[in-house]
Amino acid sequence: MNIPTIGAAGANVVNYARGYDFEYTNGMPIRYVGFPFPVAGQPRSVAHSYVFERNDVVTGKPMMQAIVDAWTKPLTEKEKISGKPPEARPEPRLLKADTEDNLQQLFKDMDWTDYNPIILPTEERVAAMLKGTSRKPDEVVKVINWPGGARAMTVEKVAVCAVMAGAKPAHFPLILAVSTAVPFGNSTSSMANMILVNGPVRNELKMNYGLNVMGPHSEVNSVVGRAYTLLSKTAGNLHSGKTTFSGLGSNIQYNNLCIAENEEALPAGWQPTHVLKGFKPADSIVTVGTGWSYISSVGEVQLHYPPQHLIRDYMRSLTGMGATVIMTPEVAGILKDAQGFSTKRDLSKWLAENVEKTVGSYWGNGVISTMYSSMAMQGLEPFASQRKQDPETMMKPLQAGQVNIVVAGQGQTTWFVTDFGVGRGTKVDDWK
Amino acid sequence: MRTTDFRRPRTPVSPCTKRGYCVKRGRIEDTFTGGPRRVTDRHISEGKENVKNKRILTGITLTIAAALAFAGLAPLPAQQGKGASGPLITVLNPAIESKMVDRIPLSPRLDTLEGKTIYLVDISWGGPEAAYSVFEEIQSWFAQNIPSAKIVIKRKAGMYTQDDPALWKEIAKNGNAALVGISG
Repeated sequence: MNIPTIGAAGANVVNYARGYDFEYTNGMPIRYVGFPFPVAGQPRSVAHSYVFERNDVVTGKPMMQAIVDAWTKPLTEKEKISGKPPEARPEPRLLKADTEDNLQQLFKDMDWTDYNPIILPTEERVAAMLKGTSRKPDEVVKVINWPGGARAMTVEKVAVCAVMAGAKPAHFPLILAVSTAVPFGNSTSSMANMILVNGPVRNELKMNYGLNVMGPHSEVNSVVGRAYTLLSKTAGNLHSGKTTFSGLGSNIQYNNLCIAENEEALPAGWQPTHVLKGFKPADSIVTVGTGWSYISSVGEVQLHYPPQHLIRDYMRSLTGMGATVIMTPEVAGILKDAQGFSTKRDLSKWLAENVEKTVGSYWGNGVISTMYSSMAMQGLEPFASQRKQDPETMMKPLQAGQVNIVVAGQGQTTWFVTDFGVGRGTKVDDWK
Repeated sequence: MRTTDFRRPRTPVSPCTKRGYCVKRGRIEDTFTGGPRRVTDRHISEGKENVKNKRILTGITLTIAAALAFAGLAPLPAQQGKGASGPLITVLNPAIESKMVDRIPLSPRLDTLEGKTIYLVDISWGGPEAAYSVFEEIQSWFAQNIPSAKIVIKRKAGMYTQDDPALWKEIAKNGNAALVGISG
């Protein structure tokens, strides 16, 4: 804009904006003022105090003095610099030789682990892992630009994390396919991911899609989910307080809800997730979803209250940005045989038509407000009309295409509702 | 009747106390009671056997401890502090070089805000009331302190991640300074 412009951020992220974001994303040493946190959800009296009584958290000056100074104080020499940045810190391929214990400690000190012990990525182990794919070690799987830094994640770097996670070469193509979605969900709220595997690879690798599918009871589910976490920290460069600032974080980030669908137990007429997305049944597909909420049904289905009704009730608490219902084959069987849902799409349609929440509750969610309120105010539909309604008016926050049904587990009539949005999917065989 | 005098010092005087068993027949002083005790050939033989058994037991214990240490069941070197000895291992670096971006200088600052048009741009982070209410307070501050400045509050189009070239063009044309926020 070529006029003096300053940025304003909450105290929770202002140092990121002035440091990491400046160096690796925008290159401009923007003068920021830092407001006390939180800004959202506060009464007007707090907003008044932030401006008239509180200090800028960056300079420590009274807020308005800091703002006026940022527009009027002459530029420093550093603020006039243009052109090439300083050389980035080199990352040699090999680390300095050390004892096993010291290396384990180093990996923790560098925040490269999930703080459980790792398998050290020796040259021999990484070379063995690379035999799990025909791809060349220096092939770039993805350039990671968020958080900034344009990090070129190669096949070898993925192999390093696969070794660290405890994976075997046979698991490597699946991990490579998953790595195309690195890093894991990162926001100031508790974003997380879900890794869903479909197709023959589930049986080839002996993934768990039956009893205790979501628990820590399968080597493959465990190491693939863990590899995604480790890649998010190493290649993704997600480090708490430096590039990630979630107030609570999410325990799902330890394993990223890595499951496979129980395709063999689907009721007749219910298709696997990847087939509904246009892939062939014989394709091995991994899909990475993103969301925040994860709610268990707790108990089993009751005769006097059909399962779709209780699923609907629980889904009212979701944000309305998307949904994935994960249910056992036994629930799916009841929905098909006793409740007449002949396909997954029938159930998705019914849920979209019957999940309702108040307009006030929908817009009362900070993520919805942050994402959609500006569009509502610009008159964009359906947000504009929704936002004008009385807060007690009931609305339907979901569309049928946003409601995914996944069948997994076995042996009980239980289910989870989540707000995970499921992407299109990646072919695992492409990474063999 | 003889009673034990526990105040009496129990100085070992018997040859039995040096090797753990008696090597000579005859009378010795009992190391516990302090009274006399008769040593026979049977005592000497049994004493030798007892000490031999103790040494075997000690040897077995030490051997098991050493085996456990080699098997990795003994306390790990990491538990004994950093710098523990062990073979050196070379491993691959999992980190990837992050590239910094080209530097862009800031626009020159203003000498004064008197008579200037200042845009406050709400990116809608946290909803429509979050930054907007703060910006209205900033507007109020200017009305009281620099009334000649014109404050224009605008909401950026689209989500916070989306660009809004039309607004940037408007600000470049009509504005003298801007504040954009508030992220959090």
